[in-house]
Amino acid sequence: MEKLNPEIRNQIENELLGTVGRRYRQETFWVIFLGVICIGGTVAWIIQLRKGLGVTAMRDYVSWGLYISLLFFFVGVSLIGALVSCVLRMSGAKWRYPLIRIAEAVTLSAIFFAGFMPILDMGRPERLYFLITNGRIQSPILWDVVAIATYFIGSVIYFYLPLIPDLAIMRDKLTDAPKWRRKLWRWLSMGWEDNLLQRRLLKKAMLILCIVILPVAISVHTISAWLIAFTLRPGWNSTIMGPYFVFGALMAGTAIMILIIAKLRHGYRLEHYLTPKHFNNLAKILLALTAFYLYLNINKYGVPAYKMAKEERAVLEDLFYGKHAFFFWFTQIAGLVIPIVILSFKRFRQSIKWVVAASVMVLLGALINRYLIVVPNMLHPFVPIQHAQHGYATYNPTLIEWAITASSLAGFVLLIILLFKPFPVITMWEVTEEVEKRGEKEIGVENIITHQNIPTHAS
Amino acid sequence: MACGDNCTCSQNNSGNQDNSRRDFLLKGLMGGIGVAFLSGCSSNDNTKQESGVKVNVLTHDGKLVTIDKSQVANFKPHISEEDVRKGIPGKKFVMVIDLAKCDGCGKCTKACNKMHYLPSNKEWIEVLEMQDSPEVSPYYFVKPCMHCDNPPCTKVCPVDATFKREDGIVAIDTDRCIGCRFCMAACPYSVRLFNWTEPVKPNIIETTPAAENVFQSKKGCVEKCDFCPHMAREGKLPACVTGCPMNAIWFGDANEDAVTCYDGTTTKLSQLLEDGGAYRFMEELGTEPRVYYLPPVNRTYDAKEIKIEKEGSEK
Amino acid sequence: MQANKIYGIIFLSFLLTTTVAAQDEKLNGNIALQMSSNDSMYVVAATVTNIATQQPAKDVELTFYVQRTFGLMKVADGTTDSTGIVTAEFPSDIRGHDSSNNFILIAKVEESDVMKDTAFQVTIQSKLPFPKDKPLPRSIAGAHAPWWLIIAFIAAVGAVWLLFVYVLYLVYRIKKASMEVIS
Repeated sequence: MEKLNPEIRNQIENELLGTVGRRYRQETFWVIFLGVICIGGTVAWIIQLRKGLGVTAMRDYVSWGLYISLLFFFVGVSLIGALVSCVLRMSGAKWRYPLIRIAEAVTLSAIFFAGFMPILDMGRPERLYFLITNGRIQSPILWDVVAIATYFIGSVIYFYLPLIPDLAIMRDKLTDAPKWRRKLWRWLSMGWEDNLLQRRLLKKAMLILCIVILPVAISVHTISAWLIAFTLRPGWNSTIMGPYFVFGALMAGTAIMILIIAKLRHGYRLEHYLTPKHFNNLAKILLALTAFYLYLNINKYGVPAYKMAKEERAVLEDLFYGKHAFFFWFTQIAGLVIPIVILSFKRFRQSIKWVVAASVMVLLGALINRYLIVVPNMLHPFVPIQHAQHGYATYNPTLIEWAITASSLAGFVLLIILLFKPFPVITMWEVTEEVEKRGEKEIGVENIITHQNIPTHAS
Repeated sequence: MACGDNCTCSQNNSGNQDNSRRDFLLKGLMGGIGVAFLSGCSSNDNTKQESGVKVNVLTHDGKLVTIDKSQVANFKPHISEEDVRKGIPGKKFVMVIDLAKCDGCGKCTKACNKMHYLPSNKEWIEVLEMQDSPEVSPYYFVKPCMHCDNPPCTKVCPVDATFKREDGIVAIDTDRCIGCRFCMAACPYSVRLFNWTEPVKPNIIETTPAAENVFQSKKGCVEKCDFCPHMAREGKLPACVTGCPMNAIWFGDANEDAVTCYDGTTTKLSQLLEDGGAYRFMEELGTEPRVYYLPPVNRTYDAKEIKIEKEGSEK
Repeated sequence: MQANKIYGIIFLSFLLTTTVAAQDEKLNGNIALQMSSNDSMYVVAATVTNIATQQPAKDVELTFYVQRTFGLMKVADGTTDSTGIVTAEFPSDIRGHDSSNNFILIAKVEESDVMKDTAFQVTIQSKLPFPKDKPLPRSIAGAHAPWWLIIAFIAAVGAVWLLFVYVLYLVYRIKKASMEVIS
């Protein structure tokens, strides 16, 4: 492939830079809406801090509830960054280039809230620093804290590295931006002038980080799984938990990725950059992951169900036809079986609407599944629950809990939107470079050259 | 007059007249704890002078003394933080519960609650009705903390707030606990309780390190049965043992190979375990509890009267 | 016949008076203990004497206890014979009370018909070794982590962070690369 016409490259860059700092009416609505939810959640959190965790429905038997379920959800979603920038890179999928920054933004936001959830759940958050002053490295909580912190820092770096050339483009192009912004861009772009040595160094840095971040990402979620797998409780005392969490996480992350690029495609008018090819390919990945997750589910529930050992029985009966049966079968059928059926057909996979519908179902199932992993098991301990006080043998989350949960989810989406605002959502330099090298088709972009106003470069 | 509206003495005093500790408490209250409540905030700087404010201090030998507030600093703890974390030298505490004798009266729970200033809705030692299968006869099952030798709870604690001592006790340092509740999830015996709200505090000041406090409830922290180490240091039995009129609970030191029950009968631990066919609860989990059970054979009560609650039922 | 009857009455009244006297005023006794042992048993010989008369006290019931932390453990009992001696045996698998590995044997007269309550104790070296207070080993459950865990943890986390630092160093070199060109 030949070099792009500088005029066309200029046009493409202008187009992608168009989203930076621009106000979209729908987006403003969402920011305000999510912001209000976050404020509500903050108020709820202040109430919880003042009155203690008694304002939640958690009690001595169900001592972990929505917050820990959400921790598992967020840690899970954060794996999408590693999937796109690492697994897809290693498998040589070139269509990942337009998705990299979006995936890293989702990862950053998710891992930020994953780090936040345990603090919400703590009885004594003001003693958090004890983890440093008195930490015991035998405790998986300490591993989790270290792993989340490491993954967060790694993700920040991975978000930053491909940003350097783009920041340089912004520094050079957006000369009418406020002075402090230009100053910041100049400082952050590290004197990038696209020379050969800089390019080589950047590629090397990205390769190293790509290799390091994968084990870190997997360890983050495996350790979260160990928080429950390291206990002796029936239903949790299982070796499948690590892989079960990791693949459930990749599945939920892929579903979220699909929903976000579906929103961005129209919202930011990126139809040429986020194309049906991306949806089709992500749908294939989602299909593989849901199918594999169903297989893991059959192992996780089917194997003990065949044996029906005394302790496991109470949990399994609760899930299969007890109090939690509706949610359980919802996650299995609506969250897995139906999406698998939908995504199995090429026709549906190529329709963005159907892929989005399947993703919504998968995501909803994954969210509820996190709850089902935590709560029903706590309701069926080894020692039967007897003489429980009112509210101790059940778990019906309170308004405060729902408010904090909703605002965490809202904050997660809000942070993603806010991360998209100061930067172009598509990695400009990499996409143009790869289009030059391999052509539009392989990168998955459509007509980004031809739809520009300038007559196309003869090819 | 002495008791202000915010004073908790009425709850503390009711039904505890037989306890000398409470009598001290009463006297102390007369001595002006109410005043302490009213002026506590303003009089924290005069450490040298007599403040005129009286407070109750629980001394290491289990007595409550009323002293001037300015003298509290003189009450140095007789044991250090390290002593508490190490445990009582030369001891390995052990409990034996004879299920054949337990008639489910619940006096152990009451004695324990009185000792540790617990409200009735908290039970460090629980009496459950058990029936292993439909055809076998039911029995009462007394469940304190098992003080495991391979404790799942201390493994997972991120800040060493719950720890195993050399004398066998698994203790909780409520000055350290961050309230993550991982230990509660890890405990297969469900013995750990959490202070979801601010607990009602008795009017006492304790000088011992937190892990050997008599009153252990702190908002946002975990608590559980502690084998009454403050009593053991005095050579006295835990509250549940001295509270069990059926002599169903034995407590002692495995190093001495002896256990003692309510009426003072002391017997050889190894003999008791051998003759009684003792077992440990859920041995298969490998937690190696320090509590042994003697099976409910030749019961002293009518097993037919035990009603098994449906699982998960609430009061 | 009559004389016999009279003697009988006298004897009976003598018995009665002595019993009443004993009830009124139990004698003060003294216990001396002599320990010996064979392979599996301790043999304790207790000599009970009347302090007032320095004569052996007979028919005194003695109970032998071993002092334990929370109470007295009964190991044997017996009644003194005419020489004021009671010999009892109890198994020698008695553990020491503390790290000195001694235990205290107490011979007690409790609620005796002839003697006031009294006790005598001796300290005996236990034949069984006293379990030493071993500091809890480095373990997952203990306060200190096992070395392999510390090394593995630091190695894993350290390797990742070192690579992060190296990546940041590469970024620094990117900056340097530009400045070189400028100058």
